[in-house]
Amino acid sequence: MTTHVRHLRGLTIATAVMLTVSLALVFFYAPLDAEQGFIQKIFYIHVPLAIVSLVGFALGGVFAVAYLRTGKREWDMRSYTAIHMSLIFSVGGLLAGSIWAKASWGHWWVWSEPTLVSYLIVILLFCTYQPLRFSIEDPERQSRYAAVFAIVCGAFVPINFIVVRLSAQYLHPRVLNLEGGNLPGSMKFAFYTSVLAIALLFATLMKYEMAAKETRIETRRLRRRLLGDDALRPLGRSAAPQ
Amino acid sequence: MITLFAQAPALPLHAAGKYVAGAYIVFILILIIYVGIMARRLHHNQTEIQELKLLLEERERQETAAQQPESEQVA
Repeated sequence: MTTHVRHLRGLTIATAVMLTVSLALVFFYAPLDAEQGFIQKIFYIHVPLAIVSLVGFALGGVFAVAYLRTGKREWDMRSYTAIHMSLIFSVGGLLAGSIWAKASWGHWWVWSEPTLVSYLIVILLFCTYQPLRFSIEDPERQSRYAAVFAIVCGAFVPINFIVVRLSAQYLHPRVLNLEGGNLPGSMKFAFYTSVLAIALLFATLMKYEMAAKETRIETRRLRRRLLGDDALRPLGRSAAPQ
Repeated sequence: MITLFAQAPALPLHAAGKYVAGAYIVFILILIIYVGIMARRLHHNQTEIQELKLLLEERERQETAAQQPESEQVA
């Protein structure tokens, strides 16, 4: 059993409970928005997905720093998995946001809106992470180059966020700020619960992904010990850490 | 933003419902697809481990069989 499997059951149960609680709060506790009505319920899935994915991208950079400092393969695995999961979550956030935009603004996408476009740029930037890894055959170099890429792009995430916040034209709704935003208490409670639920989901799926990858590596190691190098099918290129 | 929202007033429940359902269904669909991929990988891993287990048992059986005649000769 690998290190990533530890606490997995508890984490899975906590995630399932938090997701159920957050959905119940969103639909049965949080009041309807005075301006937007029922459509504002998308906010409780779109914003947490966007926040968690952006934090995940930045976390990928932090793990990459740890990899370059220690040279331990597990940090590379963490960095890879964090970026991988963030990409999945960001696609969810993007699609949910697009549906909300269509319902509220009448358009699936607004190119003049800095928050949307900058979020898309971040996603597209991290979409090149996997092809970059895939293009490097040597595992050592692959990990090192990917770590540098993850650090640079991870640093871009908060810079990008600050720049967009400072920009003068606001079309995208601003419901959160450092003072807590303009949400009423019940909405804020439902929102923070949703953020926590999505963050827990991110952590759980990340752990599952790492456990699956570790198991695959262990199985290959076992096969090699049992049958020798000849019994192993050639690995071929892979974007995942070897 | 304010002018845009002023032009787009709150949708009635029957119209907004499909958008809200759509957003949450997209999220659940992504989760299901991801879990499906993970389940396929798990199945692949389990098959490989089973295969290795059979190979190990076969090897142990052969080693035991090879040791038995030797011990009979010594006796």
